[in-house]
Amino acid sequence: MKIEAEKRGLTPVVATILLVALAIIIAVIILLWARGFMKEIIEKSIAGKSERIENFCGDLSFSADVFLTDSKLEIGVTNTGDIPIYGVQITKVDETKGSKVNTGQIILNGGSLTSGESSSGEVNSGIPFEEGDSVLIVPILLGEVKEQKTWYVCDEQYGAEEVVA
Amino acid sequence: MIGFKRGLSAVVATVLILLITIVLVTILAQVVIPFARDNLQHSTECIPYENYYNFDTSFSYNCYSVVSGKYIYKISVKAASIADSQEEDADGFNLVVGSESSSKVVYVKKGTGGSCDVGGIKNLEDPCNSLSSLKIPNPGESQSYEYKSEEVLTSVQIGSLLSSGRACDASDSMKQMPACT
Repeated sequence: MKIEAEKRGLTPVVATILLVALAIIIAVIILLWARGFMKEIIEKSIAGKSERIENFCGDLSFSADVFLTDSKLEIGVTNTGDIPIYGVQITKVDETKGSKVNTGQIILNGGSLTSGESSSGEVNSGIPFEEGDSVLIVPILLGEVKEQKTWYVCDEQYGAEEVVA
Repeated sequence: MIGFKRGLSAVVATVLILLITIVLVTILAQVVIPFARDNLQHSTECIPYENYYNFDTSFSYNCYSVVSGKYIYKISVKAASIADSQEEDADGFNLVVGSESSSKVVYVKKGTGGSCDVGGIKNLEDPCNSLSSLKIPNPGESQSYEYKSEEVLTSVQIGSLLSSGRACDASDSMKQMPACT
């Protein structure tokens, strides 16, 4: 007796769609996993030129004065370059103790100290300062991550070390 | 004789396949995915700290002096700037100090006390008669430490310690340090 087997299976079209769908799902899973440890790039745009924000730190130019007023530390900054400065991070440097301690950040001129402008601010960290102390002033820039504003502290090599007067 | 073959109807088979799929997806979502996620997280948690702690060469330390036959090493450590959310995971660092005959790990963790004993470490600024908890540099900061050894050190490596208890690979190292001037 001959029984005709009825062979049925997935059509090539359905099989292809399934394979593509599987590949997409796996790619999305890998992407979501990898995104967790990928560093987001902060970008800054000046005159239509958009670059990684750290590339602008080397082009910064500014001068700073540090002085005590009623035993409070005051910082005056003048932007002598072309790149707007958002603020500065103040670090107390103690050569004897071999320490550098962050004492706070000052936002300058409402967050945009443009070329030629000057601004000053007070440090309210509770860390005592005396005349002759060394202070490292590191500029902070404003950039964007996915159209969201965020600030970036430049590396200390782009900062200026000043003595409290 | 004609065989009378019976089996599941197409509807029942489809319902069964759907049920099995739902059960499998539930198991995958409840057990396999959290398990894989936790393990993957552990495998990648050191990545932001690959270059977090470094030896700071901007001070005149990273050198040794000899006091009463013991070697006092002054070591400056700098923490790189990272996002604040990651800062909470850093619990300190470990120093792997190696001499010609042996090597040992010195843990510098938040909240632990300093020590002036041989093999102990303290903040450089703390006098031995009033030791405080070890200070760890926050992002962008530096701290210097004093480590007492019986032998000359031939190498020092530094790596991050995370709050999960994980010790990450060395992010910086130094060979023989010079005598302090």
